[in-house]
Amino acid sequence: MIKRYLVPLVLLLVSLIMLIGTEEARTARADLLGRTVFYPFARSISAIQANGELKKELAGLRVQLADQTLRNLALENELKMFSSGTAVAFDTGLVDFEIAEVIGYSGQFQQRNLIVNKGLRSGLRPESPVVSASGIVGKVINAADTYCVVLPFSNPQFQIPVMDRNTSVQGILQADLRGVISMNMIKLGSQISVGDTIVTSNLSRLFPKGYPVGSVSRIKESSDNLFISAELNPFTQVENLEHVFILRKQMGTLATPQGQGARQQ
Amino acid sequence: MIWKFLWTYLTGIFFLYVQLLVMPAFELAGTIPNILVPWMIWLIWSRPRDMALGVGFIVGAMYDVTQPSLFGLSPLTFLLLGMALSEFRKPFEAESKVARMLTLLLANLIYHLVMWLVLGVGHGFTAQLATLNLIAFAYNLVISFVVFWSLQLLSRMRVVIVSE
Repeated sequence: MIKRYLVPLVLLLVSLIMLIGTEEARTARADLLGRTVFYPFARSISAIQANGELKKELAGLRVQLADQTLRNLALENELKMFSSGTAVAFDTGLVDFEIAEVIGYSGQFQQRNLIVNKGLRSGLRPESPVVSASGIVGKVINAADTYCVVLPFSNPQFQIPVMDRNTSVQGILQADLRGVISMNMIKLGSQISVGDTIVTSNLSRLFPKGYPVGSVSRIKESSDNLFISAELNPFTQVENLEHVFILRKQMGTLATPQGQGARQQ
Repeated sequence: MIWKFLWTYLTGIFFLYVQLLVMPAFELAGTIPNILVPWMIWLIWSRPRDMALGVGFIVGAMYDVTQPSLFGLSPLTFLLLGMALSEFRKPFEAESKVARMLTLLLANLIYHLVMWLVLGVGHGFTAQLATLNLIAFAYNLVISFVVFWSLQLLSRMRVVIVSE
């Protein structure tokens, strides 16, 4: 009888010994067994559970990363829209305009002028400012009934006052015979830096204030050391133009871009 | 005999890993089903009593290493289960399905009774504890049926190699 129940009795005794005592004592016993006899088992279980928790954490972090990436992309897009908008967008205010197609060229190399298919019959007059969707192009210098000649800003004969959009530093837009577009006559010590957007100046009698011209690519001192000169990357590539907008003066004056009823280009 | 013991121990280890790593995914109303209970019943029905008790005790002790605050409870419970079931099944035929079902019921009843007593002593015999224990009993009973009959089916499968 005793022999029959010997194994269960021994096991019962051992399990009772394991169970008795305070919680701390039981924990200490379990810890001892986990570090000795059952070490491979306890270690593998804790490793697998830790691995699972890390995977969960990783998945959570990936979700956060994806979310953050999407937010960053959205912000970058907003920034691009804002910066490109401020760089090339302009409005014509109360200025009316005529769309004209470039139908030919006159002159050689950098002294080349554009010929467009609109003239006096379309209400265009000499000295009318010409722009493209990207920025300024030049001005009408000669108008016939059905066409007119446009002097582009890439021609050294073209000069207009321009300014830094951020700091309002004034200068003169000029091109040299090599085709380099520069903002010259900038006062020494002026706040202008590479990357700044240059727009038409409030001093211009031809263009309304704020029309985009280009961005500063390089700054150098003039040969007489009295002024700064800033080389520009123009927003408009004159040689690639197909269509231009020729602005018509209304009521004898040109409105500023801040005018009412602004039209975004 | 040694191989049989080893094989039984390995199945126990397998069930222990499943219990610790897989079963938490089947938690219902705060209850994680314990598949070691049906495994213990299957052990009692398919192995010599002392071997079943020995392996159940070791696996129970290993299980308690992962929940040290109640260290010793699982070996004791499995021991009581094993003893009770081995005595209970004696009058029945060896292949009696009714007896197996009754042992499933009895084992879960004993297991949850012990749990109720232990948790009641520790946290008080509240109505909430009783309700949770009843839910756990029902849930475990269903899981036990599934696991136990799956084990029965698997243990009777034989690989037959026919050479023509």
